[in-house]
Amino acid sequence: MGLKDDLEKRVAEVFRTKWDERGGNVVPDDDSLTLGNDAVKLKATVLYADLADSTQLVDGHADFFAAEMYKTFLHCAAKVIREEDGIITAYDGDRIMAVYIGERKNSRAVKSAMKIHYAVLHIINPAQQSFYTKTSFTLKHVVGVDTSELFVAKTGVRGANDLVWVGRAANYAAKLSSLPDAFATYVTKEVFDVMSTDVKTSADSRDMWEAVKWNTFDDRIIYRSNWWWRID
Amino acid sequence: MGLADDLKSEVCTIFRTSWTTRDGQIVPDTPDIKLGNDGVTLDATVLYADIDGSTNMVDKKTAQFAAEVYKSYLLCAARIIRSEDGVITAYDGDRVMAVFIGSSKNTSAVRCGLKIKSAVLEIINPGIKKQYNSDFKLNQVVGVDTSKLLVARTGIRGSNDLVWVGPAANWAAKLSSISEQPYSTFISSAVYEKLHQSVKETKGEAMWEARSWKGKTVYRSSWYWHVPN
Repeated sequence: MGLKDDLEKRVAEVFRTKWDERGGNVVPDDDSLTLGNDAVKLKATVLYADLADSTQLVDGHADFFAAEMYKTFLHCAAKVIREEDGIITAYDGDRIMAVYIGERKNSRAVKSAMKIHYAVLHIINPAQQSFYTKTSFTLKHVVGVDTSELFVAKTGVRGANDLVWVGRAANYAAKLSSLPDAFATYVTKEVFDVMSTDVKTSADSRDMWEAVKWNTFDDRIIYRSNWWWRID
Repeated sequence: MGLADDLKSEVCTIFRTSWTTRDGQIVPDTPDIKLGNDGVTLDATVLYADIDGSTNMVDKKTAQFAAEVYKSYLLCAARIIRSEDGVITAYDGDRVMAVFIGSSKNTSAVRCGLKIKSAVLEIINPGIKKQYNSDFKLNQVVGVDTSKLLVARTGIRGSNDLVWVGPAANWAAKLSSISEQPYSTFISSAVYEKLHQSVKETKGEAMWEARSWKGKTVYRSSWYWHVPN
């Protein structure tokens, strides 16, 4: 059978087959889903952490230097996410996607974002500047967070890690993480409204967030912050 | 050891450790590269295939329908990439990244982009029409660039944790986010210059037009290449 016939047959199957859905209370991995139209639905908060200006980083610096920046950023982001009980669900070049479910999922995702900001400002950049004293590079990043119902299915594209996460939060969080790096964290109103006071207001009672219009999308209100949360 | 100390120690190790790099003859897989600052360098062509308008689709359509569109697109893109000897190196939501190496890497990657467009026009969109009698049309964009790449391990999870560092990885991703339908294949001038005549012209007619973008010359095409029967 030629490639075209084969693809036609498989595409028709995807559209024709009824979905077998169940509610989930754990983040599925690819062993918990079958290849057909099998899906898990869950209420989840999605975090995307993206290196800002990575094109300038790779165009303007030695490849090993750029690789070290990627590695240190991804390493710190991954550990912070795990500490807040987030699950890393996708990882693609210079960005990382994580999913949080259960109690305080929004607060935990936002706290992760604020801790990633701390790691960049107080761990990665000082270390980089002490090793590379002749380089004026400063790592910047942006984290986006949104929450919604997600529909998780297997794509069959490859053996491992081939889940597709369908839902507003996956798209919006990714879009928010490509906003300007003048602010390190952007969250939707749905996240802001339910997150706990400790990530909304500082110890000395200052608002840590500013409401702005999402003017590169549909002008809805989103919240941005440059506050960080200390990692112990 | 607390998390902060742990992160400081790991970050310092990454900055301090000298790199060992070697030239790669194949697209490396995770076990081929050691944790630590071990790297493989490759002359490679990178392809990103990305759904155009996925946020809108997810907002307007049911999750089931959107998931079917994602699945069909990723399935076709993946099979076509493999048929052109590309290697799928990352896959994230609605986009797929592939790497091509060897003497015809640019022509293969570009033909792949043109075939993915044909799969959308001739297989996926008719499939949607047939099942749902819907006029929804999937749009997608493929971006292709070529450069030297440094491939290293990030160590962030068990498998599939390679990082691909080089201009082609970034620019191919950026090219795949240009929304100018019906143009759905965008390539760098470095790729264009290496293309075989068969993917440059059809019966003397140019399949590409030059366009200035972010201070560079890139080429765009609205042509497609039939998926072989």
